[in-house]
Amino acid sequence: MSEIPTRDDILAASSESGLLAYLFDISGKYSLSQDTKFLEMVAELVESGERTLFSEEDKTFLKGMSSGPGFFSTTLLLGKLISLLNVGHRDMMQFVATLVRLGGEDMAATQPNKAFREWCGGDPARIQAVINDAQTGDELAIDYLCFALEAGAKSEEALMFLSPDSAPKVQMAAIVALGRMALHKKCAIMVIRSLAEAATVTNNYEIKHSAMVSSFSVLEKIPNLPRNEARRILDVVLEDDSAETLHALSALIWLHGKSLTEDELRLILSALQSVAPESKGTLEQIDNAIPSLINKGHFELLSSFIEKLIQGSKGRIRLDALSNFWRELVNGDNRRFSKFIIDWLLEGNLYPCLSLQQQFAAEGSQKPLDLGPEDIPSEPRDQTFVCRKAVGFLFIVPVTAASILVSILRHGDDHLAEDVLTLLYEPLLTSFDGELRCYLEETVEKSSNSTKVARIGEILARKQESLDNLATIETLVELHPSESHRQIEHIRQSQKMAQAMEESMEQSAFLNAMLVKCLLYGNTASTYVTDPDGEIRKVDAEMGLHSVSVEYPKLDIFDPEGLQMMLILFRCERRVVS
Amino acid sequence: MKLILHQYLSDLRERGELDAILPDLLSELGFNVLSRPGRGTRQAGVDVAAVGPDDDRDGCRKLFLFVIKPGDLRRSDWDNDTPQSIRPSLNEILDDYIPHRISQQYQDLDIVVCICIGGEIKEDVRSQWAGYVENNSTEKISFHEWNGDKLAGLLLSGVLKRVFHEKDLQTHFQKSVAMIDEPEVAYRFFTLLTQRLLESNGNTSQITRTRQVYICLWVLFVWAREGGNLDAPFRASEYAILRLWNDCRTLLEMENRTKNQEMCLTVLDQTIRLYFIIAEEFLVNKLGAYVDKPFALSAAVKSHSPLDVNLALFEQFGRLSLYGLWLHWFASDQPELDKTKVYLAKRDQVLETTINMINTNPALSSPIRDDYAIEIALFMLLAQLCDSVDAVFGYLEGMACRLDFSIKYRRNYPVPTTDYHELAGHPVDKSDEYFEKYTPGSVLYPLLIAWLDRLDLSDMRDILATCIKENLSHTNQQVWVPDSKTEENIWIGEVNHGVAIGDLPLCGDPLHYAELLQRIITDHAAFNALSTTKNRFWPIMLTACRHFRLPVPPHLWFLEIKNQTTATEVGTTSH
Repeated sequence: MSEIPTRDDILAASSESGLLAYLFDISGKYSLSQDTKFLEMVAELVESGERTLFSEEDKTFLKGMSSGPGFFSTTLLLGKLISLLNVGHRDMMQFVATLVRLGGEDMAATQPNKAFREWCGGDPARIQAVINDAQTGDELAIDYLCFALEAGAKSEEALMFLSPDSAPKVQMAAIVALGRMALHKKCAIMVIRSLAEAATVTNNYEIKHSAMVSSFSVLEKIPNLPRNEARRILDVVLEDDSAETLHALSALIWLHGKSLTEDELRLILSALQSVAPESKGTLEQIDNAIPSLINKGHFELLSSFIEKLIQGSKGRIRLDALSNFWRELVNGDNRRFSKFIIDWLLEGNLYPCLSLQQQFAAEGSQKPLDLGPEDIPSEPRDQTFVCRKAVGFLFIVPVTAASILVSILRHGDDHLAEDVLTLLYEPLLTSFDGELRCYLEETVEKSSNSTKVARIGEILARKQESLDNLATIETLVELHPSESHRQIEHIRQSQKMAQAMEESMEQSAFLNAMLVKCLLYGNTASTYVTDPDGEIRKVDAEMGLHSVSVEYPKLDIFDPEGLQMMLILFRCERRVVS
Repeated sequence: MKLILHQYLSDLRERGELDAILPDLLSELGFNVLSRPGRGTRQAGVDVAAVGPDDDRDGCRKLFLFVIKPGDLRRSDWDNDTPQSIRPSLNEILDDYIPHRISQQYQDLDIVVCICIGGEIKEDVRSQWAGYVENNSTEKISFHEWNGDKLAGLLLSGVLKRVFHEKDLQTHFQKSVAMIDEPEVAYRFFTLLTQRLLESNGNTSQITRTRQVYICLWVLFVWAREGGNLDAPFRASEYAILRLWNDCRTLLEMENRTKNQEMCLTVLDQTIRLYFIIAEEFLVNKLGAYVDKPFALSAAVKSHSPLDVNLALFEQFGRLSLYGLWLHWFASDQPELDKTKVYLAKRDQVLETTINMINTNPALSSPIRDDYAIEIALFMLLAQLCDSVDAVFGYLEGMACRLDFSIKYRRNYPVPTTDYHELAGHPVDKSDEYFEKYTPGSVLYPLLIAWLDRLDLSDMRDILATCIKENLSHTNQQVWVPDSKTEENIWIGEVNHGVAIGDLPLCGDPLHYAELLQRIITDHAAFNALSTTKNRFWPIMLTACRHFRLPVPPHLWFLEIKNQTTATEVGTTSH
């Protein structure tokens, strides 16, 4: 059934359960929210009184609803419907408030507010009615004052509401509305000044925060406005370092970061360095701001900020909390990525570098860095420092670590060649034989013009010699663990793997959203489904092989303590700055 | 059984193998062995001379002159220019031994010239042998052939008669031989076999019991050698020495020993020599080929578990060190200076091998078990005897540094357990609760601190002592010393004896600790009463410590400790 219901269909279907129940029932089945004719029919039924949406029964019905995917498709439909309804503003505010409350914490929960704003915009009388009620102190109207002011672009009224005599909630509504309005230049200057005044005189931090965001919102919409008043608000806000203030600052860089000056951004990021690891929402907003800030050319500033943020939190904030930053880095220019890694290693701060290590470990993929002569530190001792940090922190991604060493071998001080080759051999080449060896062989092949890089051939030959030495080691069976020991270890490892797999499956959003079926035999899944028309259809799904291979570092088996001591020493080493 | 023995006999390789067991085989058959094989060339063609019944002919008492040839007799072995060639030896017997070297008391006896071969006479030389016998046989001189089959029969009817007839003994013997690829299992059956063989049952004499253990060890070794896995015979040889020592120790103190009692001591000596053969074959020839190659031995463990690497390396580390100590003892026991020098050179080579092993396998600086104090004590004693303590400073410092690291980071620190399951999961976590539970006592730190003090490595000593003070204050730092019950128990693997002296002040004044150790040595004189101490068989005490996992007592830590029968004297006299 794909036809649009007729008026009679609607009447018949909603005769017993009511119109709301009917709309909830069919909203998931058809794209009715896109069908103007259907929406007009429903609006006409409500206006004619043949059906209700705002009766006591409807309110009772709504209260019994719960949110979910079905709920949000209905609110979408209702949102479209709202703008067509010609009802009293109080009924409408009540109806919208109920829908918003039912939406709970969901991002889509406030969609009905948007519909309300559009509904207000349909008739100036509705706007005035809400404003009038708000002036009398009506709580419901105050809640919807912001939308009414915005819908009517009532900047003058909004400025009046900014008065310190107004209730904070009213002031907030006015501030938010002013930030959203499209203003002309002269008015905008006045608005920002008023916002600054309001932020300065009040002790209410919510008002200060909102004034700040709104003022920068106005600045963003109208280029070349004087920024001093907005900056004054920012300075007022920065006097406080509470979690709420930091949250507001993170919202500011998220919403309007692209229009902030470098100086303003620097100030804000400086304050945001003290964000607590528990402030997930604030961190999320910072992360959301990152792509646009990088686009605006603030990469260096951000890199330094994040490094300090992680170090300041003693590693409780990690790069994975700022996934957008990492994504931008990895997917962006390899040269920028490479430079970023070198900069962090050269700073040598423990927690940022550890976070880098964790990020590489989580990614699992190895990426050789692309470093030019200008990217590596000029001082020989800094070059050595970076090499050791690279090994210490990026040991788990040996190709990446080795690429740093190769770059320093190529472009760095001649006297360091021996030390760099030693580090390349042990611990890297003694531990890893797969991708690393291929990478180094390719590097040697491609670098015939560099005598220093060609020397990597020496350590590759040494590696080959050690492998040849081990070729006959099979005969030394006396050193093999006993069968019983092997079995104990095997069981232990199996239990560990099973536990890890169970945990990762529990955490997998993908698996949680799917119905998992187990195939005991074969490599093709086949099942029979019955279509709506009753026909039985065979569905085949050929299974693919999914596997992951990891090269376990040999030194971690042969000499785990020695390896860890070396890596920890490298990680903890402090840079000597003259 | 006969097939096992036949195979064993045919696999006996060089001199020193078939000729080593033949005298015992003959003695058990009622022969009186007149001369045993010496090193190098034969005595006028004869390897072993014995007087006994000629059961193949008339049963009369005759003089048997044996020419021994390991493996098969081929045409190439019959008549060539090598000293081991058979025909020249037979000619020598006829031309020299019989006319000139038979003592007067045996000159009236008929003579049997017997070629004794581990395998068989091959067809390509059979006619030469037959022709030789035909041409040289006289009324007085006859020729016999004892091949592998005959020898196997003689073993079963003689020295191994009991093993052949008693079902449980036969099972233990067969399983120990069959399970050489699972050395722990093979060793377990060998210990059961040894225990049963050495039980005094009234029917078997002490010398027979002793020989049975010796021959069984030989069979196990040769089978394992052919199978390419010498782990089981190595363990078994240490066990056999200890059990035979237990049986023979009282004989050493007797003033007038019977011939059989003397023979028992000879078999003990032969068992020690067999241990030398096994150790040389495994530790020097096989393991030694890889010690200078970085990580080669670690890789040879063929395991993804660092625990397996640690366990395997420390096992070989201890074996090498102990073998070096045995060589030192053996050198000091040689009557000729040249031989002393040879064994001392071998000892030095073993130390060098051990040091190479440490350098190429750094896991040896991170003991995962507290009882690896035993291996470290053996190694340090060997280094002292070789006058090479300077060469191992770095090892002790490195180990102290790593211990400091592993304790502070709660990573793979040594624990006083030998249970694989526990070790495999260690450390389960980094909690204080777990840490304290698994570090209740230690014999490792007292040894290390004592050595760091002794070598005046004060920086590292301070670091380790501070680490102990800050992290191991709950640990009972202790040494173990023998008591009056030790002598009766230690050689048979009983561990409930001795005294644990705890609460050692490792973190205080080094001088005070050194004085205390000296006092412990003086106060616990039961060590001096041990049979190994009294009879200067100190390597057996060290073998017991290593094999049965008892800490080396401080009496044997340092050469400077003056005690008339400790290693000091042995060490100094041998130089």
